[in-house]
Amino acid sequence: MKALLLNGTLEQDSDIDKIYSSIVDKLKSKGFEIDSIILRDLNVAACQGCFDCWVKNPGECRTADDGREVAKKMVQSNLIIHFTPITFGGYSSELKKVIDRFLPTILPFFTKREGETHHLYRYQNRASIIAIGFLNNQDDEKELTFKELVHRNSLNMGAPIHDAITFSKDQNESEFFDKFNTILEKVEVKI
Amino acid sequence: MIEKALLLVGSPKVEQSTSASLGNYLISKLEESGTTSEKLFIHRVVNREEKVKNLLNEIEAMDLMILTFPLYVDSLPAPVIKAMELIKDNKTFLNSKKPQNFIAISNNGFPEASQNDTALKICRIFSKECGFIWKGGIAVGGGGAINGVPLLEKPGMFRNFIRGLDLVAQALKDDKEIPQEAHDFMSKKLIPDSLYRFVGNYSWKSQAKRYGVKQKIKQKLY
Repeated sequence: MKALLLNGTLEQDSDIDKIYSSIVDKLKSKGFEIDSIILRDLNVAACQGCFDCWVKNPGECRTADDGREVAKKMVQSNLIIHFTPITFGGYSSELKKVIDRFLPTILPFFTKREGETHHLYRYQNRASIIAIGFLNNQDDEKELTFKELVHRNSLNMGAPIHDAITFSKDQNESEFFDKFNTILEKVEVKI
Repeated sequence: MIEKALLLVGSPKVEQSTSASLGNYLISKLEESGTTSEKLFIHRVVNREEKVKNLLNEIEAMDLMILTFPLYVDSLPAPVIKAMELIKDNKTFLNSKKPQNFIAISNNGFPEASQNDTALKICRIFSKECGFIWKGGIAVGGGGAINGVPLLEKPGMFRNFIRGLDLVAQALKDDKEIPQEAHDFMSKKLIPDSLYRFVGNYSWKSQAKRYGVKQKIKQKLY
């Protein structure tokens, strides 16, 4: 079982490092092989929207940087953790820069899914997604938008199991880990 | 009266983007009433300190900011989020005392304009956090049909976008909410969804054939 942890925190988010370490420990104790990536340390260019990864060099981005390697790891994982400060209800720019580069891992062709047009999947193996978003204070609007984003991403990426957990500084840590454990159990059943 | 509008184009295709086509048309309608404007391409700004300073100065000077962008994986492209983080972090240092309005236009490559809704909610929260006056989010589907062409070059084909943006411009000039009629025009489908998917799939195959990779289009590298 492989877990890819995409840590999208910014320089100023060091106060959530402790939670991150606890998540890594939890996954290790469950027998996951961990690949933990601090995204702000990577060289990942912005997606150029050129579609070369679909029609010119199918399956690979034309930009030869760390973004290619992350896309490969996404395909080879059973579980992807999106770890991010909730930024206006969405992901931080650090997490989003690698999410944007997942395009080569799907096909250009359209299909209808849940009543909407989406792209077909390129790979049979698709990872479950657990998104963990941090807030300075509880905020229902941001929380709902974050959950909606994760649901939509999971639809596009074909995640067998997905969920979003939010955590604010005024919240009880054990409550957070109870939720995390429950989702993790569902993920393990699917692997 | 909108004295100064700032157009932020959030597409890596910069001048040749659908985002620019939509933003340029809206700005041109505002300019007819005496609004002056400035245009910046976010992908050319975010990683350059001097250009970020200029962006912040332009934000201080504007009374309307228009953000146009393509939908990337259900949200805004990463450099646009980066720019929003920078704007928010610096907003408290800016000194503008006049009301500052904000509107966002999201376009996607699917027939359903509603797929932009999450991204537009993100824009609304950004607006609130920065203290801007949220004028609304415009959702555009089938953006590939525009493909960076100025709207007035194909007035027949793009008539719904033109009528929709005319209504948006009028509402902004009158300092009113964007009317539902404008949203309806902007999200009107050019062709039925099933035909969109059929034509789109044919187009992807044709493009792959042109580059000599039709047989490899579904290849798995990992």
